[in-house]
Amino acid sequence: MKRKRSVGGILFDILNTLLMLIILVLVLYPFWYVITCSLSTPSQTTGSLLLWPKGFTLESFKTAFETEAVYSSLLISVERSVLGSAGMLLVSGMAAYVLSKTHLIAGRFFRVFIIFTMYFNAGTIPIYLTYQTLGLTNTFWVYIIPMLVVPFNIVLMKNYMESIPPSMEEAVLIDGGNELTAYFRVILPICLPVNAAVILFSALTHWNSLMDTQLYNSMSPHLYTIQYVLYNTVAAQMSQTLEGARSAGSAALVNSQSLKMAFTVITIIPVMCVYPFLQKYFVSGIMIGSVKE
Amino acid sequence: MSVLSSQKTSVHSGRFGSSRLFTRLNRQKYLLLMLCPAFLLTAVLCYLPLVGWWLAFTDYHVGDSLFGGDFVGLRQFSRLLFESSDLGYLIRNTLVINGLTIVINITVALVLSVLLRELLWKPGAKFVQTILFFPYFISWVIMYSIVWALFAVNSGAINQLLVSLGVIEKGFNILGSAKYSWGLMIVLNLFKHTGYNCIIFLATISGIPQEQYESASLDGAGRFAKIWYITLPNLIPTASILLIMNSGWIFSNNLEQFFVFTNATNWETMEVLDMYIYKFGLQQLDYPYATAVGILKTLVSIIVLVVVNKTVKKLSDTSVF
Amino acid sequence: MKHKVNDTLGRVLACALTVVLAASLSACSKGEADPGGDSGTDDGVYTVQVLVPAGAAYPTKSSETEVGKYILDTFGVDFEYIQYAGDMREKQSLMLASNDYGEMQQMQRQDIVKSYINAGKLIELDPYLEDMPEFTARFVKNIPYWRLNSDDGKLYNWELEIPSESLDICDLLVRSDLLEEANWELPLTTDEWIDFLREAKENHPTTESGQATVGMTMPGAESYGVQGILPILYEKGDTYLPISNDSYTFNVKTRKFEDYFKNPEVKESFQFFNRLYREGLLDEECFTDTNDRTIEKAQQGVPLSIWYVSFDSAQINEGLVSNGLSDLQYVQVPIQSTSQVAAGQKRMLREEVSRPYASWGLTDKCKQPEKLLEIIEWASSDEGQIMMRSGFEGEHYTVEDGKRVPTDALLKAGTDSVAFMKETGVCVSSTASILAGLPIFQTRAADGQFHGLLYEPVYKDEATLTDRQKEVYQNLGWESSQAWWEQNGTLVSAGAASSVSIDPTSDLGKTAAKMVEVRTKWSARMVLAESEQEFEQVYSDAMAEYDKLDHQSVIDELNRLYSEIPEELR
Repeated sequence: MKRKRSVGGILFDILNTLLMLIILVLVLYPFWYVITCSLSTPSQTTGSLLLWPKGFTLESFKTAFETEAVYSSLLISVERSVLGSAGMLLVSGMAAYVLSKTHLIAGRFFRVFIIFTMYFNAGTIPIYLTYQTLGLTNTFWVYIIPMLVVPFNIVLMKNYMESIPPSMEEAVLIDGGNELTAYFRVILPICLPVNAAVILFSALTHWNSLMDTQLYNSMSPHLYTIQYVLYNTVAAQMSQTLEGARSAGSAALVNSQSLKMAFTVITIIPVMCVYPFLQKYFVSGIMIGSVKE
Repeated sequence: MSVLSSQKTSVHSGRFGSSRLFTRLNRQKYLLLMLCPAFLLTAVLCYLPLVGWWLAFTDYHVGDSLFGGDFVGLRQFSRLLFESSDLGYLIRNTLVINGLTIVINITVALVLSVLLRELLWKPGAKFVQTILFFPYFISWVIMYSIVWALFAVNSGAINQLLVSLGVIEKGFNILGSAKYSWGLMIVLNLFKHTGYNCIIFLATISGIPQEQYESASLDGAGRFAKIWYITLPNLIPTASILLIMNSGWIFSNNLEQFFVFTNATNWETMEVLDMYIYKFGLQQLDYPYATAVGILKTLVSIIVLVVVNKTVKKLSDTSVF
Repeated sequence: MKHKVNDTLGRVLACALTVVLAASLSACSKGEADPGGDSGTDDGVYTVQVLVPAGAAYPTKSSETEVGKYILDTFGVDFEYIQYAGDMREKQSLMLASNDYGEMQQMQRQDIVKSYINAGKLIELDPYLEDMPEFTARFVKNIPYWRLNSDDGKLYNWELEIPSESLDICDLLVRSDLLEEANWELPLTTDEWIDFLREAKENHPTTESGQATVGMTMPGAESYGVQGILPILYEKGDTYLPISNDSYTFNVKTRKFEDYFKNPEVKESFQFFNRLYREGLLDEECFTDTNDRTIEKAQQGVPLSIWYVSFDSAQINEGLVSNGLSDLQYVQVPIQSTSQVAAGQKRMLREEVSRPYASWGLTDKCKQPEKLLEIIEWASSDEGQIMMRSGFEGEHYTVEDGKRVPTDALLKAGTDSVAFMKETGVCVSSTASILAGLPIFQTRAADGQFHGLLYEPVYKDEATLTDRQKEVYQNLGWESSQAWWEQNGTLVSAGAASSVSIDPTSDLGKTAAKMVEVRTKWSARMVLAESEQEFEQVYSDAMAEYDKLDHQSVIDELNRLYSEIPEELR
């Protein structure tokens, strides 16, 4: 199908491309700065745009990887990201489906009940005591269970599901199935774009999480997540400064900032690998809309 | 008529309410089953701990049992009321920064997602979309470092460049002056979250049935007409929902973000409500006070949420509740 | 097309399912595994988990160090250190609230100590004291203050880092090349320093690499920055003790607390910085500079002087040397306000008898308190403390004529203390010993020398000063890096002033917090006033704002609490 391009269209395309290039530079530059800074000698970075590393050194990365807990915490973070987002999809996905049904008994109540939880907080201590009573503190499950229901994702999925023509599910129900099978066989696959999006969000939240480790698992080193390890390592590095103490040699090549940069690079790389994979699911619109009315 | 709605109106005598209720329950048992896990988890993990709000009405000291403190009624709340004259600027800062952030973020993400879709070179669009996401990973502490490195009034790289080129006489004191706080926070918020928000819109766009575009083509619609009449209307519900949801957070801020950027020179415009709760509540280990302020903040936020929800529902028939 | 989609989808789902299963299996095993939350007793070793602030020197277990190994062999106890990078006070508080605290627990500041005591979570130590003669003797002056924490006057906690006979000074760092150019004539008063810096800036408008210099800088963005060290000129005289960064100062002559913000010497501090600003000598970025930034600038010689933060000098000078700017190295020099010197005030040096920030106690979860108290008794003795601060005889020091002499290994540790401490467990210079919770102090042993040999001025300088610094001090005519303070300082005991505090959750506590808020917020405005008149105007505006608070009640309450302390302890 040939597309007719008007002058306006061509102009638009040029401007659009230009805009994207500018955005690319603006967004890429800080990230590039993080990379070059992690490879530079700290004392030489002040006042520089750091378009390339100054005083190239791998010392920050070396320090990062020499941190004992890095590898085990990477594993923990991967585990919780996978398990957590899969669990979230299961629990919240089903909830979103149910809540999208206008004929649901006490539908209004349930919708409010679940979604309102985004807007209040019972307080650190009451929540801690609740988790403690349930036996979640100092275990791996404190990472998973509280994050199975994510109201924000439920709203996104619910919104998407509401735009699906009901004829799709009816086909299943007429055949003698129930809503459960309708969901897994028909709705879930159709929701691929939004599912991919919420899986991404959930996995990222798990990957980035710091507070839950700090609050509930700080006494269990074998359960530390990568962000927590990084946070601790950077603070330890900073404490060297405050004490006026230092270790000969590597002090000048690493400081808390360059270490932070190195860790940031390390934690983004896995995401850079996973993200493109997920991306193709929420941009492929060709699969959708296969209902023959 | 669909099967589902026919089920709803199928005839059953309305005289015995309980049996009708039971029938409805029975008919929806799979739905309720599917909702069970989420419902139970929410009830136990979010609502049960709310009994802890009792702290706001007591004289709780750390070390007491949760219900051990003496009852003091509304004393914590009246404490807050006496501060309310001081809270004026805090609330103003919070509302300005958050309000503008919400509106600008949603608008920019919406426009950007459409533009991305229109980009001719698809691999390029995918690349931009991926890169757009990266600022989300840059923690606020690092964000501060970068802003400092570029815009410190004397040592900042860009300030130095501009001064040496003669464009300005003295560097912009972006970090050390009250003039720039709001703009800075809004721009940085935009920077951090655009990729995230774009994904939401892009997911929606990808869900628009191709037939809509195809039939529009057959009707002779051009490229821009398609955007205006098909893409945008499909995105408005999403944008509305994002607006409603974010309105409930209009009094909340990311503490890490404001911790690093607030300092002695810009507090008038940079300090937000959550910083106050942290400084005068949690840092003082005064949980009752922090809880009381939190409760008030929640109540007001929910009112805002309900109002916005109703308004948006009236205007565009989309709502979250 | 649909068929194809189902295939891909099917494959993806199968893949995901496998991953999820694998993850949940391994997660299950982790979930069941002993979380290690309880200290155990394996093969006779009593392991105690201790929560410590994040620090590079901490080993995972104390037995990994030489001293820790000795403790293990002698007492059968091993400490497991768990580092924590968040706010320690909040954590300690949460641990109490959730009944999830350790066996040996740190408590920062009095309000937390009192919370633990009032909740009945700390073990009373009095019954054990008769078996702890060294501890009782060592802390004979301090124990009465520790008893003040509980209503029943019993002993529940001990404190680290006291008693201390070593001088801990933070005045001014100045670039030594500037002193050389001034023929080693050292300014002392604030007026003299302004003249000195003005001339120095004229002679050195930029560094060699072309960066503009600044007269003075400091890390104002740190929590102790604008709030703590900007106004601290008041401590350089002989009247006011630096007690806290809060709402009060302590007048040692009248033995009364006074308001911080209204203190005239605090005003002088603001005036000093304002003058620096008006003369273009103040680094405008100081308000937004973190410690890292200050160090980086200093490592390139940008600031001609640095306010207060002498604890960074070692790292700064090392950076200068590696940047080829060895002659610029900073040395610590004194500063007093003009009026203090005119009044002939000596420089007061604080001696603490109480340090609630570093409180430790044994909780009711402690399985073998006697064992741990044995170790604390050992640490309080000469033998134990010498090992903790000077190491092992033969390896780290030799004994000649009854005096300990450090070996090269120990002297080297002066410039490499973190790595040294991590390996040996010996804390040579700072007070952040990795043997968390064990008494650590800076006093003299029976042989007349400090327990930590590197605290002896002659060894300290030898071990920690660079050649350039030694050269500078020689030219200044100082015998040691602390000579001036030893000659011109007077040791004043803080007494019970550090033991007085207002409950932060009370109304007065809130007022006190607001007093600090107002002070901090107006500080920058005062310093950045463009003229003397404007300064006075801003100052009176600030005072007007400040007077809206009931600050006098806070001070009165502090004095009342102080008067309730037995006379002999004040």
